[in-house]
Amino acid sequence: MGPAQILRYIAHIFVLLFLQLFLFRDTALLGFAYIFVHIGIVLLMPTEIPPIWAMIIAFCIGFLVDMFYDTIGIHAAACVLIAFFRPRIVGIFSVQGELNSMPEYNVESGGVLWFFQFALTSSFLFCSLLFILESTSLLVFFYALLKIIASSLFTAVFLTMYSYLWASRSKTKRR
Amino acid sequence: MINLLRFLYDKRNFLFFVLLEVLCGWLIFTFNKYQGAFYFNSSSAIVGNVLSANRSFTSYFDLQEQNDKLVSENILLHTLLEREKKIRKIDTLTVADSSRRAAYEFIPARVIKNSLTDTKNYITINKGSADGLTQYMGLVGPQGVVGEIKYCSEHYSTGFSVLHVKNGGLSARLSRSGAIGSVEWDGTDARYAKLKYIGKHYFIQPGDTVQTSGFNNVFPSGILIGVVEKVNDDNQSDYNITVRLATDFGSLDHVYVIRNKRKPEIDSLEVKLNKPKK
Repeated sequence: MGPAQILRYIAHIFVLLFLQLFLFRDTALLGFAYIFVHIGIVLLMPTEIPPIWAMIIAFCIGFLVDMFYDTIGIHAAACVLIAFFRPRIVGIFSVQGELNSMPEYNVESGGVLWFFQFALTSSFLFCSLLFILESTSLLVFFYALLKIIASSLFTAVFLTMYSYLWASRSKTKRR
Repeated sequence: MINLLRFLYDKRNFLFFVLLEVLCGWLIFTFNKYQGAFYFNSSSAIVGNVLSANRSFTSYFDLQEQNDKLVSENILLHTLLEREKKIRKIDTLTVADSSRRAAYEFIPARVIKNSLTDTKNYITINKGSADGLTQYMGLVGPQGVVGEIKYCSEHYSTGFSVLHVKNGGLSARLSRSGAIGSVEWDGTDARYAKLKYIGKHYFIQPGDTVQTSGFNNVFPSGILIGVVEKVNDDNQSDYNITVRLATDFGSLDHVYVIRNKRKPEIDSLEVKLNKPKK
């Protein structure tokens, strides 16, 4: 894990947190498609970070976001969930042995389609836990289902674009 | 024993995961269920300052719209004032009656955080206990009812907005028929709420205005909540009424906090009533 990679990861943390807390906090396309770009901080984490530390970072990020949403514990729980399942989700879409060479899971290392599948599965897990914890009765549950599907799609599309921009940026730098 | 320790060590990631999730669960149940989040919510000093700075920057983008809203409210208030003056002129006797003195005081504030997208939405404003705010004060905007204060720090306060499921509802009166009901939000569309407990013996039609009843000592009576949008006459004993809310929660900026000066007096009376007899 070189200093360049650590710096890049810190940049991810600041950019994605800023976007989520100040730009996308109340964004809801069509009234039910939300966007949670801060899960990108968990997904784009360098793979060399041990799982326990990954979960601690995820918990802190979730807790910080919770303070702005007044939902203490809900985002934190969902972030820890995807931090724990991240290696297993990546495993579904990849050939064994391919993963060890990746410094982090992004568009550059795995390609656009691969990253989109990974981001979609992760954000689906995240949104499911988030909206199930948030929905207070069975009446709201079916509406929550709609929110889960729409939000995870929206979030995954945004994160793929975000990671793609970083990938194209580092390509032009190399030339 | 060694085997057990090795097993635990092998499963350390999973165990740590379970530990963190249990911690989150505990946080959710202690801080969200009982709404005891006093230190970790948006009325805390640090988060409040960040949000306040954010709001002071973004407030320039909708100045025109906010001005229009305040001007139209001024027009309404001038009209009411003229009407009041006319009534006073007819009255030849000047009565020194303490019950005619204003019981409600309005404290201006600005919204620094507001959400529409959760099922339980909160509003944070830039006035706190240092400005004389306490729990259970009403919040109104230029267009109508906004919510109720729940927590105050020194310079910020957080409260329910009307868009909050399971907060007990807002006591409301239909101005034309005088029927009393409760306005509750169902957690879906931020523009509409439900008006419940209106019996079928009343005649209700779309366009009727819904106002505060003044029964819970939080809001004075006669503040606009919304307009009846749709009346469903299904098989229950009550109507199923959809109300279009007067306040546009998406562009809320200036609000007033309502202080009922007589609330302690009224509350102490009601406490006496509810006290079990010895």
